[in-house]
Amino acid sequence: MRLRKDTSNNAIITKSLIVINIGVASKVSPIPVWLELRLCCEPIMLPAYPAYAFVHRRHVPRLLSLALVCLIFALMGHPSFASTYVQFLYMDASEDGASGGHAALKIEDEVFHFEHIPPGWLRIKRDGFAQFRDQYITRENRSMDVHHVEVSEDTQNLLREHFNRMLLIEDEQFDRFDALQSDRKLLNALLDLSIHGDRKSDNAKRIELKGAGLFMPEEWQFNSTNQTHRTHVEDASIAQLKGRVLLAYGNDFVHSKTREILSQLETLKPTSYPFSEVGLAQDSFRSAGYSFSSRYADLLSRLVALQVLEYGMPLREGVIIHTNGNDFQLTEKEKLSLSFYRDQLKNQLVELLIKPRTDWGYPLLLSMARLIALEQTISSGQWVVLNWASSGKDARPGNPRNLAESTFEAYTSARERFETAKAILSGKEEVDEWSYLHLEQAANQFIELGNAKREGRAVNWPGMNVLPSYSASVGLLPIAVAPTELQAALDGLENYSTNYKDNLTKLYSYHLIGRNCASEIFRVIAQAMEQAYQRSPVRQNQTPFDEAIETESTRRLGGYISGQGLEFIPFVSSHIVNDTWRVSFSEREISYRLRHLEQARQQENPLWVSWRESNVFSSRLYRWHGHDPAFVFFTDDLTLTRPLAGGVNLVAGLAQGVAGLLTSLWDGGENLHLGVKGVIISLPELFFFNIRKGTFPASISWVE
Amino acid sequence: MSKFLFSIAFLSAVTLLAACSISTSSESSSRSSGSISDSASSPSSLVPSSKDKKQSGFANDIRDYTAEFAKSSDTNIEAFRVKLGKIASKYGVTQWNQDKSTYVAIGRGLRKAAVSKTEYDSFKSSLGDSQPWKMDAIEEGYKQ
Repeated sequence: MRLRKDTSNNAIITKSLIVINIGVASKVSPIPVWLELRLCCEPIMLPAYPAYAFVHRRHVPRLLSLALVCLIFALMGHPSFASTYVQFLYMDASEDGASGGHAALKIEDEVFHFEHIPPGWLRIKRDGFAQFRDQYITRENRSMDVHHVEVSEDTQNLLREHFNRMLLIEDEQFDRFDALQSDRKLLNALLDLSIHGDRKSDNAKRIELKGAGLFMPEEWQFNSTNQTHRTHVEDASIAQLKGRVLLAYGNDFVHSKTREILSQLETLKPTSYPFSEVGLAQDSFRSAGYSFSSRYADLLSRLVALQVLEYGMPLREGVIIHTNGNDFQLTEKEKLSLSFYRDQLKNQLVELLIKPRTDWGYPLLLSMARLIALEQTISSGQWVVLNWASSGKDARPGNPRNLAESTFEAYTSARERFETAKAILSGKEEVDEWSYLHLEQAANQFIELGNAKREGRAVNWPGMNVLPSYSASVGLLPIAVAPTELQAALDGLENYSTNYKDNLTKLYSYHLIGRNCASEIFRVIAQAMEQAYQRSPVRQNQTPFDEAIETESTRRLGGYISGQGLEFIPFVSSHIVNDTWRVSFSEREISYRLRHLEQARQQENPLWVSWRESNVFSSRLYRWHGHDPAFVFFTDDLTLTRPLAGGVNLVAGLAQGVAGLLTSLWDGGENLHLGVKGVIISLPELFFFNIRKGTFPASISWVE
Repeated sequence: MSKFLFSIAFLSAVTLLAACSISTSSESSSRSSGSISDSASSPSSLVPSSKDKKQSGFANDIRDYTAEFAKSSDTNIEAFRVKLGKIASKYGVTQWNQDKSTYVAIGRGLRKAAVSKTEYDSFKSSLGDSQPWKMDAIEEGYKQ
């Protein structure tokens, strides 16, 4: 039985104790039964244990029955009673800028944590647990402590809502900041264009448009007199779509829509920014709005999409993948299902052109590319899909030895996923964008992993969850605003933007002590407790506010952590959480390397494995990849010999630093930077502390 | 010598306390659905999400955003639509305005925001594009 004492000498009982206590009650004493009855009302502060020392034995059967009713009620899942968990996560230190470790809060499948971002801000982030685990345990090779904190469903919802609201507020505020930067860039370019015209063709007078790279060559420029010259064979799928559009809306539709967009572009006015008012607050939601640069980009995207439709432009090389082999052959039934989806997609695109959406340019471009892929798939009976691994620049650094193993595992898994995703084509369900997207993603995973496995190379994949943006730079079109007006708009923007940035810095600046990834979690939780207290029907006005938050936190989490003490150090916070909150159990998930080391020790001679894996030269699990500072020995699994190994690592870091001085002329100081970093993270090893783990950026964990 | 050792110990302690992960994802401050060139909240991750998880994540995000937007004094429906497009883009979908689940989620968001009857009707007619199926879906979500 877990009873926690708070400062007012009250006891707090958690619901999970019901079953245990009933057993105890029947044999030993009626007291716990009484406690459970109170518990049925909701998790509540109970007067000190001795106050209930006398309950007559003859009442026991009645009380027991009532307790059982409560138990059934609780098991039925009444939200007020149901018990669940949130997890406090602590990740060990690592060389990737987290030498004090990292802390996070997991609520169901989502992980909320705070990251230090340039230029010295601390921002909330939400990740899926599988993605978070992949990032920290696998690729950053860090072990993780998980403290399971028992809470009511109400508390779980309270925390999720609070962290999520904070995320929404911050996202809007930072989106607005990004929009200000984009506005400034665009205004400068338009000013340049209006003064010098397009005689001087340079990158400053271009804009990156998402989706334009599916069809348009780099540096494409709209020309209103000749428009796009017909230098290609018209794509049949796009020509058919155009036919449908003209049938639905008239023969002049594409031309008139183009004229309309050109006119909207020309008359577009820059945003007028207030002189000083910025009005940012951490607890106040304000939409980021629809910025001048976004409007401009959306108009230009629509223009590009209409050009593709008008001229039936073909896809750029490399945008789609043509498959071969039995794995990618379609059955007649699958072809039929895809035909239905293709027709549905055409109808949607025809409708899209008259929807009150202003951002239909990218959806139209992407869908037209998919339409081409679908048409070719159906006609050839062999899968043709958009290529998600479209850019070689995103390839991950290779580690052929461990890659071979992980890629094979991932390949087998990808094949299964592709087969499962294809089940949607059985005809039992209608194919929609979600299922086609899933299928396209599964096909890409399978194709890319197959290629990587066959060619023995790293997986060329910027992220298996993400569609590439297919961006291309497109020439700007002038707007009908005089240079003086543009300059005035720029001045206003500069002033507003400076104020805005100052406000953001005030609200979100990172401080090593007092405001970091650990302290911020406790601060946000305290805010949630404050909110809960203010809404509480049993709120007592005479209670001092701080005490009330503490009481609320103790009631809901088992204890209160202010975030203003030593808990700002992540590894200390882990211990404090364990000692203070209602932690039912804790577990440790070991890092990628240590897990594989353990497996190797079981399969081979453990002494030999320990020696072989102790250093980067003979390790089979790790290969130095250039993103880690140079080092010789792994010290995370050493204790007594850590300073000695650290000394060798320090020398390696120094050597890289010295070499970096020489190479900085052509590598931009990269080696020098790594060398300094290597020295800094080796120093603690001399004093038995470990930060360095060695990272595995190319490793693939395939756990959903 | 002792001064040297103290300096080393101090440096080590500061290094140890430096705490927290530094984001390596991007120079940009935006990592959510907002940026026009970004498309996911976890661009570095290799772990795929299931279709169901994505769909429920999308619906929850739309619900939560709608609720906050409705509670705020903002009335710019055009900006709201653009944001819906960005949320959809984060999940890889583009035809969110043809998807019933979007409108059900909007209805749930309005419910969550506890908007007045007048505000609810105004939202419903603005976002429903005069299409009965969209308005019905908003109603369905609102009643859930």
